Amino acid sequence: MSHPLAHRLTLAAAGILVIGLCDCSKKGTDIVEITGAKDGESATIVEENMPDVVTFNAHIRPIFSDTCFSCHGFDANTREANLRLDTPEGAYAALADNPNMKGIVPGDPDQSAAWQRIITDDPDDLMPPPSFHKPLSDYQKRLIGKWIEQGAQYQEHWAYIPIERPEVPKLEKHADLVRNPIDAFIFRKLEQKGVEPSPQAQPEVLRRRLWLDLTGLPPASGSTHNPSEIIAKAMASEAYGERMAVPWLDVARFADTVGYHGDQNQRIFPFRDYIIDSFNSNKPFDQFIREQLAGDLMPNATEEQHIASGFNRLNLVTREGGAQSKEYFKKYAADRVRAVGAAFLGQTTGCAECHDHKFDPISQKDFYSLAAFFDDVQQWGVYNNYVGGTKYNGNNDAYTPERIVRPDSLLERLNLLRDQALQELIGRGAATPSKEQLAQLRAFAAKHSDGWAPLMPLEVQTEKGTAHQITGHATHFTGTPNKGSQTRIELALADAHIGSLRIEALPDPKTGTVGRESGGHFTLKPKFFLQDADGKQSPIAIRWSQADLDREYGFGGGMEHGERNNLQINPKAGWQSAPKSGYEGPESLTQRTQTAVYCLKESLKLPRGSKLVVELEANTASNLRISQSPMLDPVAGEAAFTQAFRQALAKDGKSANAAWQLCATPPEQLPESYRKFLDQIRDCRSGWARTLVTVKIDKPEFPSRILPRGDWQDDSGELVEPTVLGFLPSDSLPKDRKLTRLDLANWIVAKENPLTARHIMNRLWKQFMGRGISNVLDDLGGQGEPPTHPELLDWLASEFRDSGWNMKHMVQLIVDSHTYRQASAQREDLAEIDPYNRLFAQQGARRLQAEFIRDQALAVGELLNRSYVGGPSVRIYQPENYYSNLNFPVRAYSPHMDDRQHRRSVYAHWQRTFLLPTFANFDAPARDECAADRLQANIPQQALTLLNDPVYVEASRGFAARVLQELPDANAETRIERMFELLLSRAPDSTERARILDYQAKQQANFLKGTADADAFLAVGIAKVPEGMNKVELAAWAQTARLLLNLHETITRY
Amino acid sequence: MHLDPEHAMSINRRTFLHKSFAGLGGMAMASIAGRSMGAVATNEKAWPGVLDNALHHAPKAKRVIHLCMAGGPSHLESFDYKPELARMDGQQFPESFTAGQQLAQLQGKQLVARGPVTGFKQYGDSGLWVSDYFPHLGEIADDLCIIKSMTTTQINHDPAHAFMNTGSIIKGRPSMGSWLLYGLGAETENLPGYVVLISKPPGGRNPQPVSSRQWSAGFLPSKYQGVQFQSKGNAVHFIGNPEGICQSTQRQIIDEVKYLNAHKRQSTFDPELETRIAQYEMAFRMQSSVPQLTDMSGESQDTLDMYGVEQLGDGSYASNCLLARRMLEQGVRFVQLYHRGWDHHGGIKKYMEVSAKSSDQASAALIKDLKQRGMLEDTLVIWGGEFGRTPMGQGSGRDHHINAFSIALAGGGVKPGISYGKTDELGYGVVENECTVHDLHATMLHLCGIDFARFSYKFQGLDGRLTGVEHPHVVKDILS
Repeated sequence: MSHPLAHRLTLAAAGILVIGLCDCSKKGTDIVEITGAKDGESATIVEENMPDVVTFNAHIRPIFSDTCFSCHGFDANTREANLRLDTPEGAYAALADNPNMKGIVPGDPDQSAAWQRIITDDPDDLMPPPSFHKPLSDYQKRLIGKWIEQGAQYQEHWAYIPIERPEVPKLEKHADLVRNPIDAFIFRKLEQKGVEPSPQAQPEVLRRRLWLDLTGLPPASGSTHNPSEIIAKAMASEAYGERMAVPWLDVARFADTVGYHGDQNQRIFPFRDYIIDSFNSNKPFDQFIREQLAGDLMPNATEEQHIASGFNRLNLVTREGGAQSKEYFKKYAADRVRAVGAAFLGQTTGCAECHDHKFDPISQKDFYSLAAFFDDVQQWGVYNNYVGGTKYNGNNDAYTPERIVRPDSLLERLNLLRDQALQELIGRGAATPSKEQLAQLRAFAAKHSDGWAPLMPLEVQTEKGTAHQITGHATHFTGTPNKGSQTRIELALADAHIGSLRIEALPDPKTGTVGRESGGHFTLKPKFFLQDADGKQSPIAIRWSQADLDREYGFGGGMEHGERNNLQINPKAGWQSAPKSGYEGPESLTQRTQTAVYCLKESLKLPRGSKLVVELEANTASNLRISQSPMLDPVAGEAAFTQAFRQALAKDGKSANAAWQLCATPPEQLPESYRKFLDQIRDCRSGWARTLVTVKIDKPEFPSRILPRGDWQDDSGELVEPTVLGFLPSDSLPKDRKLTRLDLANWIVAKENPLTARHIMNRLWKQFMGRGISNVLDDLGGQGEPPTHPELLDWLASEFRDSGWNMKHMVQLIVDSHTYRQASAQREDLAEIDPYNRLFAQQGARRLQAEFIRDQALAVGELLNRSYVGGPSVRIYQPENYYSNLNFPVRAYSPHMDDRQHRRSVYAHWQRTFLLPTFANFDAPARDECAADRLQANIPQQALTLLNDPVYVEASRGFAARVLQELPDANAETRIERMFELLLSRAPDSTERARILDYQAKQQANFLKGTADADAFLAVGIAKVPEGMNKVELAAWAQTARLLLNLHETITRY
Repeated sequence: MHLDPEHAMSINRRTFLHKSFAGLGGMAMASIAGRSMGAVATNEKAWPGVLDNALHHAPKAKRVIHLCMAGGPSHLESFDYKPELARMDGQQFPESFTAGQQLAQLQGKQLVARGPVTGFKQYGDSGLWVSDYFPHLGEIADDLCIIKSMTTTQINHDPAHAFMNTGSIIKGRPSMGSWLLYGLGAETENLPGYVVLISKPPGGRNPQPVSSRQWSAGFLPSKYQGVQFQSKGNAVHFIGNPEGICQSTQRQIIDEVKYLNAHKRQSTFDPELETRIAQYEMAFRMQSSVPQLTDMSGESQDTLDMYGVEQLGDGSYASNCLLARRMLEQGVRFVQLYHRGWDHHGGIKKYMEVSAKSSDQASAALIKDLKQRGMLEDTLVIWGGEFGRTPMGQGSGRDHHINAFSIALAGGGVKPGISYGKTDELGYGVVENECTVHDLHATMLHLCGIDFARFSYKFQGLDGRLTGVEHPHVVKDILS
């Protein structure tokens, strides 16, 4: 017998719990089948637990994989004695060094060399060798012996067998409880094990569970208790997509920063919008996968598909000086292979980077052949200009290539901000225009409802003879641009104050492009003059200029406001049309109108008979139209007068006055509160955003080759072609041409692929039931765990596939099942016989994930800002100086002190090297790597976070204020009941009621002693304290709310 | 099957409760729930380790402090004396050394030998060579074990740190501190078991960033992650009460949370409830003990002078060294001090002086202080960077170098006053007794009573190890 200590350690280190499980095994649950029994147990116990039929997949493969395959498995390079035990051919063959013996003789342990080596007393012969530190237990040995006795039948690994829809089992008991086939599979196993399913959870428990699981938010006050109605409502809400996105963003390793070294910001929020929208619109999941891997290669790829292809760009990248491009290309390739394995296939492909896989039939060649699919992804190995001339323009450049897109979320945000800015001024009511001033503005608005008056060109002069022609309001230039060509345009002005001027560069009807430079680009350097009736020209001072589309200069590199520096039109180079060729796309932007606004220093009153003169120091545009507006800070490419503006202008009093103010008073003279909105409006860049995408290149700099031992400097290995995993079927793939990323994507979701649907469904099951059917979520291979309910998993996988990869359908099926609806944490018997809930005879109680703990608190505190879905990342509270050890550039973190602060957590800025402590403490991953699963720890930092993180203090106050406002005259008891209802969807019991009443009174007494404490406590966070409230009372109730937000039940969904 | 031992323990606790519940009846439950400190919670070690009472062999080191000189200090200006390199100063570097080798910023540049920019002396009975930049470490040379034959595989800072800390360049792997805490637990009842402190010298070279993933627990449960103590503001995130909440009010809320959680236990079979109750108690203890720990006003002036602390708690390396000693005394298992600013691509003469000055005295003082308190014998001190620097010059400095570098060890079962391993005459490559990063990890584990081969954690179906999949060796020659 092996050293008992060593054995215990192996088990402990492997995280396998032995103590306490022997009880379960007596009752015959799965546990024993999975883990084996403990060491040193009596022969009787071993026999009692022995299954009647020992099968390879359920019993033997886990043992062999863990203890035999590293020397007798797939990897030929490390195979000992030329014996392989992972295939029947290998196991049944005669031994190389003793042709009279065979590894395994079916039915005859005595003749099986492997068995003899397992049971020998001679430490020199013993297998696995003692030095391997994985001795077999008596139970494991007996299993192997019995398996050989019973014929040593091999089975193909469960996850590699084609998915076929199993029959729904017939039940002897509880057929009346079955709501859909899921229950039949679960109950069938319970019948076999003699365990009863749990009854449906209490309606209030189920209501909270459903809302938290489906939306990550608590149920709305007074909403229905009918489960079917809840399911329909929750799944139709936009919050559903925000909730479902979180685990997928872990898988896609979505983050706002590049991850290596200086961990600078990268721009990719539209990808997150895409994920949320896809869940909300219930995009067929196969399409969802295809678009992320190969959206750019799809025929007539849509904007959305290009955005989705950002998936391939979410690997960590570096800007470190001295890094070598080739080395990092290889690191990026390896990341993608690991990500494809973990995200879609549930395979640990990463193991084959340096050698053939020890446990699964993945060869090193497979690894690099998978990598080869991504050779066409345009990327820079190192994003700096220190070394090697990597065609990179220096640290001021972004992480190219990017695509300029216009996400709905950003436009929505832009419009919201413009309305809010106006409302802010209306609220202040400081302006007092004269009747004439208002009348003049209204007259302009009546004539030009969008606030822009196009100006008629009177005369155009060009030096060096550029041909031109006036057509309507536009001036049309043709011919090759001359360097340094001066253009002068004289225009008639509209009779109104000028707040800003607009230049629209329109596409040329013939060339189709906005400019006459190569690629259809233009450069414009305008100067504006007012020419009076005597022909005297005086310059117009410009305060701010911004274009909806232009060529970016100076990437912020992670500075908090770094990007604001390049919002303005480049003062040196002038306005240059987008995109920056070779660095960003799409080139087709040159075929759409690009617009710039030039905001005047102050509103300009026109002397009679004056004209506008525009001098263009450089002009390579095709077709220009110039307009004026009374608005001082319009948005380029958008109406100067929004609908809200026109409505305000029409309404006498504060509204019209505020509208006038926007045309009369430069922002420096407007209140700071308005200027904050203006800054944010400018940050929206007219709703255009840059996002990382996949751009295909034809010739990779470093095509994939096998790297001996993973050494990137070793070029001796063969070049490889893109090939899918060789051991899996690939009938649907073309055989006559080189495969592409799109082929890979198609294969991943092809009918013959046995892994993807199983893998996605296994993860989905865990999301709603707390445990996977196979509970090693990222490994469906040999070292993973055989499923507890293989037929159920196959049924789910085939239903998923056959329904057209309909995710909402599957979610609906799961949450509608009785299995899902069962009570949780109510049965003492299950705590004993199935502590890990592998039988699913109850629902699993589970702590909420980091994001939803925060969302829930903000929701009950009525602070949650849900005014739009998607959009740029927001900076929530974080301890000061948290980034003090970052560099290149040095960074300070400034939380958003406006309504962005209280957006849902899915939008929080994700800094890979310094993840928000409030999330990190609740097990959110850094997203450096694809993460198929989150651990759930229970640590003191969680208590500290809930107690002291300002967001929870602020939410407590919001929660208290809400209840006090709703129930101003109610007694404390009623208020406590209300708090319970809102937060926990239940009433307090008598103990809770009494304790909390007492506690609340104590808090009130505390704050009465020191009202300064109440003031200080209420001042935490940015949310306003409602006026007219008794501060001591509010503080005492906030302390009570804080108590409730800290309860274990609050952060748990039962 | 993949279980968090924490979870496993809480199940056992619950089972225990049930048994006592059955035996003693409802009264017992009520009295447990009614106490302000859950009986279950207080009887447990705050930091149990999976190897508690089950170490592979008797340990020599009970705690480890890693003085990480982040940025890659030059071995040629610290411990590896190379007179031949001095002789060759300014001459072309022999191609026989460098052909086909990886370079960082020197890629494609002409390679010129740079002699050491400072002098060296032999110190103590051991006669170890130490450069003039490190007179204080020189003084305690007889306590040091210098490994001159370190190598690494990673030439850039970020992956090199990851490799030094986790033995892997793939993200999401646990750091060595997390491994030790997982295996050994910690003696402290009210502090984190693994603490990280960061400093940089004033006037030093623009320092490299340091990522919090360097002290991540990776695939181990997050309770094993290192906790960074901040040099400004709250030492630990969210350790301070909210404004307007005094310690006694905070105690009230914690007591009430614990009471109500215990009450919930009567109607619910949720093993996490037990753990949650214990964590709230631990959180409160941390809230009280962290300020006590960081209040160093009781340290004598002599001590401050020995470390060279100018102002207590100023976040300097010297102040951090003193704070680290206090942590070690209180049973923190692994302390890591990052001292930034050793990336001397340029101005090595000036910046080496700045960096060394800010590190030398305090590092030596820490070792002396541990020794005078009788703690050095079971405390392993590791001083060193993530790689070394080229014997070839780069402008006025040196580039990253992975083929050879030096680290210093002290205490914890390591032979004092010895030098291990050799580089060639130019300090470019190792010619004797190479010590890889995995070898260093294996040796550290060995000193702590752990056999690296038997110390693993299942992740993605594999036995994840600090020492990787290859077979490293314990550097037996340096064991005392």
